[in-house]
Amino acid sequence: MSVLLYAIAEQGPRRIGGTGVGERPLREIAQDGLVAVVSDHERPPHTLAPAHVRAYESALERAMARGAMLPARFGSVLADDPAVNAMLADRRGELAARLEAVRGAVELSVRAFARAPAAGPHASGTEYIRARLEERRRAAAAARALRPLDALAREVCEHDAAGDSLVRRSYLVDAARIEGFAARVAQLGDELPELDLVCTGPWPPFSFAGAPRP
Amino acid sequence: VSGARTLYASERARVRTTRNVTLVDLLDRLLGGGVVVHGHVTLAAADIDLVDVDIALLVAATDELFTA
Repeated sequence: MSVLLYAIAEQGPRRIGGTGVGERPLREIAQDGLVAVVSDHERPPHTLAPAHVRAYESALERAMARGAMLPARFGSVLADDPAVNAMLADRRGELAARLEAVRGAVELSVRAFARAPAAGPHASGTEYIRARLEERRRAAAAARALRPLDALAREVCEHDAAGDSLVRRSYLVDAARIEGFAARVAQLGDELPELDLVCTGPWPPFSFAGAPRP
Repeated sequence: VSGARTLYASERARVRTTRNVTLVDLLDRLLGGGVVVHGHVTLAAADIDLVDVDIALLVAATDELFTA
């Protein structure tokens, strides 16, 4: 039997109920004021099956409704309860500090896409280099354009640009300021005709579960 | 997906990507974020760098997330 980890939270009067992946009951393993939200599995799931993803996400939503929490990376499996207790004890300082940092906040995601189509195949090396430079210039400009959002967030996490997005960022935002943040993104969207912006959330604080980057 | 949704999308982005972006944002976070328990992530897909995965493939594989 092994233990699938969903989230780390603070020990509290409200227990997390219901089931998780594979309809296994959720339970808490407590250690010195922290709890790990887990379910028990003979064979832990090892695929991204939609039902698993949905069950996992639903468990995180319930954990989030209960109070400050740090989601675990999907697929985190520990051998048994003592292994979970040891992990909570070893990392207590770091986990408690991050729980404090995310209390009352959610993660919002913002992506910026270039509205002009990306350049097609390149006739020459020079043209390729020129296109790459142009892409970097656009990404830097998009990053600058999004800077007003920083003031609305407790912390900002810059992700590597992915796919056709120029900029991909996560913001740790007070739960009470979600609408204000989305409205500011909309305003930027109007002000920046060269960019398409997409804002999603509220997510559990996936990008803020570890120590902030220096 | 229960809580998270698209809060804002520029008009043109709305047409082409919003549904996909919400899904990819979720999968990015599940596989690339969160507390990491070193040496214990057993999921086969855990090492996949989602930035390289074609969005259309992801959507085809996980479309039922949004239809259920």
